[in-house]
Amino acid sequence: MKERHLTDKEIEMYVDTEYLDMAQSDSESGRLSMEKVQEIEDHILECEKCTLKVKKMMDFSMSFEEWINTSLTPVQKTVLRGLKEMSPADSGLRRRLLSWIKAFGQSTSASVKIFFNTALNGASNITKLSGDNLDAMLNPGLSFQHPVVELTTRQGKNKGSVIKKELGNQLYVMARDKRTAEIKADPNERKIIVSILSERTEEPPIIFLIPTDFSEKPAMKIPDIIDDETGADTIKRGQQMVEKKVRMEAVFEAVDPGKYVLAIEPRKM
Amino acid sequence: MSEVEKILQNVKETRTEYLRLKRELSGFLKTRLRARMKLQFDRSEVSTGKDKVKNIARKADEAWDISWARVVNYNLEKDFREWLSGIGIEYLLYSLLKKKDKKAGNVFYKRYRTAIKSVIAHSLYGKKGTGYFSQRCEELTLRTFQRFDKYIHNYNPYKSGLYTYLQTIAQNLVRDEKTRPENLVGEFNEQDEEEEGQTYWALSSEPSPDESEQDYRMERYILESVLKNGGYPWQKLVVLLSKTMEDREDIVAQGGNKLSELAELTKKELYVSSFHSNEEIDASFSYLEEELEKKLSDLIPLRDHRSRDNLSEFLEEKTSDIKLDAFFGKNPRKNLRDWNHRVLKRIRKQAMEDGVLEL
Repeated sequence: MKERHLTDKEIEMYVDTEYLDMAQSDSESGRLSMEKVQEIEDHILECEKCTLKVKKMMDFSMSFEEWINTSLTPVQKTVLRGLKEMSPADSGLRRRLLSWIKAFGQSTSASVKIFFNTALNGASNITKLSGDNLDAMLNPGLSFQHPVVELTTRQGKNKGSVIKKELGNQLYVMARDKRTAEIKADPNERKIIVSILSERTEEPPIIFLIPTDFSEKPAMKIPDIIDDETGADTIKRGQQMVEKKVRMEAVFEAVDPGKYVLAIEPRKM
Repeated sequence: MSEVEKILQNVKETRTEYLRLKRELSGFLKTRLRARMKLQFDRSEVSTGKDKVKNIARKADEAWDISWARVVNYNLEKDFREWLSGIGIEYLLYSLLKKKDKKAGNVFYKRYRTAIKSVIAHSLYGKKGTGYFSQRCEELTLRTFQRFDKYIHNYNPYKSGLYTYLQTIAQNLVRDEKTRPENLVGEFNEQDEEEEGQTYWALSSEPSPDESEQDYRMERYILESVLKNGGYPWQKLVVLLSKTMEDREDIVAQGGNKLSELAELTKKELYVSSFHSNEEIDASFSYLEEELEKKLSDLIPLRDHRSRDNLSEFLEEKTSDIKLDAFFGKNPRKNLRDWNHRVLKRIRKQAMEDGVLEL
């Protein structure tokens, strides 16, 4: 075996036999015998050229298997559909949306599920937020908290369970005891407010509010910068000039009762 | 000699025979593990580094001991070396997982994710196909791996395989899910992420824009190639259904639908779950839709006697009107695997011709 290189056919059959689950039962593919597998592997351990070829064949074949086995979660599907439905006139925004769609699934996606003044599991007028990957997206490496959301169920002594709900309507991301992002749903004012603390030089993210039943078109906002008196990119802190943090805010108004997903454009595209 | 002594004597003799077998096949398992390290876990130094070679030899030795402990599970109809390789490779994977090797973590997750999700989907209460059910399955799958990561030191390779251990974790999680009173209010149930921790392999690192672009192009190539070069329409449809449906059983359950209905179903699902524009998806589907318009006899070449014989009663029908069941044999699940594999082989061949896969 050492005196000759592996043929493409041998490489294909080796990869199918050893690395692909789907190939296990295919009688037509003719699984390699263990003697043949050992012979090929003896060669691979000594030949870098064939190793490279086998790796390329593995990469392609396993990409296909992964492609088949990868599916989006329902929330991801909602966000993706929302992104696809938006067609802003501004070409810069369109480019950002396209990048977002392209990177979606490969990069982490931040989203918040929102139940806004709506009926849920037999309870009415519920407003509740719950976040996925918010910390990873807005502040990599920070812990994510949703302290107001709380649910207790108690089985009383009397027959029939009593369910007590104490539901919150805001969640936030903390960085060294400081809130760096906050999302608040206000059913009385019919508003959803997203507030983000970010570096001034950073482009404000696109934020979507997507009704999960798509009864309406998703709403899109880019937060306005507030709380920025000087307009300077940097400020002096001690002896050093540091990037100035500013607060950005996006307000969705006249929000109808219902279920929504709030999606925030990833920071690094 | 008492009965017990006779039994023990037999065990001793069998053990001696097993050790003789180990000596005979000593090079086999070491080669298998070294090749695996080099190809799958990117450890090129296994060919040269003496320490690495010794380390692999120790792993192979331990794998032999594990195989002895689990020999009662060996099916005599199977190739012994294949069974032994399975144990050795799994032990290697486990050793790397204990060291939090990221590459091994990804291999492990990708290898078992679909099977574990299927186990969960089969045992979990709830209406299949709904967004909520699907989300719960996803979450419990991820938690199964998180819990495995947390309790990896409880796993004993001498008792069972990694999949069995994962399956037990998944079933325990489903049982907890069924019995927790909080579950009365399903969607309000918050996950205790702090308790489980994050699994280092399940959270992919942020790809560079170039990597994203490359993945995006590859995905588009695969989708287009499946629809254009993947083979018979029912085989292409099964590949697409494998991608868009939760579980293989769900595809078998679609057997009563016509191919045209399944094409429509998969297209709609891709609209909401693919990163490509609906126009791109429509364009890719046009190849399949053209084929479905033809009579079956026009699609199956005369030289494919087997398919023509099996489908003789449908040959004069329009392909789009034939139900998927007509193409299944006695074991539809086997058909699904085989067709997925055949489609892969066809698009791989095409990729070599297109220069996408250059060896």
